[in-house]
Amino acid sequence: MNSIGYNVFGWNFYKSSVEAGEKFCLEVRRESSPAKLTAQTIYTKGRITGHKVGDPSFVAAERIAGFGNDLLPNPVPALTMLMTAQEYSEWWCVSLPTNTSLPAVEYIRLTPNESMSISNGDLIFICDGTASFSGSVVNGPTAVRVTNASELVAVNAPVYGMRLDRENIS
Amino acid sequence: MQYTYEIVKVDEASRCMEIVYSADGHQTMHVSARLPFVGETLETIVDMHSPVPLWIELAKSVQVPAVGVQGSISSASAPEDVAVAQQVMTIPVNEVQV
Repeated sequence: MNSIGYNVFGWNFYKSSVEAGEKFCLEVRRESSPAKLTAQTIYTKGRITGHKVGDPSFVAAERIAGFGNDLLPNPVPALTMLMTAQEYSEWWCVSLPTNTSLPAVEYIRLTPNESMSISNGDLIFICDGTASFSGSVVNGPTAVRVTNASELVAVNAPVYGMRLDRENIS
Repeated sequence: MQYTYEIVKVDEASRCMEIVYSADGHQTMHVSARLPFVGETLETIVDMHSPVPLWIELAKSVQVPAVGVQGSISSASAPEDVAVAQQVMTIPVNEVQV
């Protein structure tokens, strides 16, 4: 696994990647709602499968591009999952303890030419893809502070990202 | 920086282990890591996953910008960002206003 740190609006993010066939563990130490997990993650490339350690019948939701915490079961049980990358895969994560507090996260996943409404003051992190903000085009990874735009459009390819709120959820 | 480590959990079936890292004056860290392959040493894996860069970063003083400071930064290409990031641990992502 390769991880690279990025600072986004003051939060420390990690972009991680694994090669096909690579295995790693995901551990949830305490049962939690997806929004209150101490790691907020969105996958942007690839496909990763997994199952609970010691119980192969307990299968994890596949981590594919666009998968984020909001698609996890609620509550997320305390468990350790053994994950296997079926192909080269990437994801972005903001977590404790590399941050003193976490943002509230709304996950962004747009298909080509799909749009969503945004508001002035929004903090938007485009992790992957090309997005147009009322005509201003940016390529991920880019942190976008919205001051004069009302719409975000995915340009030609999917866009994955997060709308971040400074509300402390941890 | 000198640190100590202890393997506190090993799951051979899932090929992973839990390492506890400790160093004077720093927060103790629990890290999940893969088991070493045959031919690798345990300490190679321990050192590979050590939180020393994080400890160093957390020990640094920070500069607090004033609210309202704005700027404009030209974007660097992603491959260069990646190359730099591996050297400096954390790099600022490009930030723009739209």
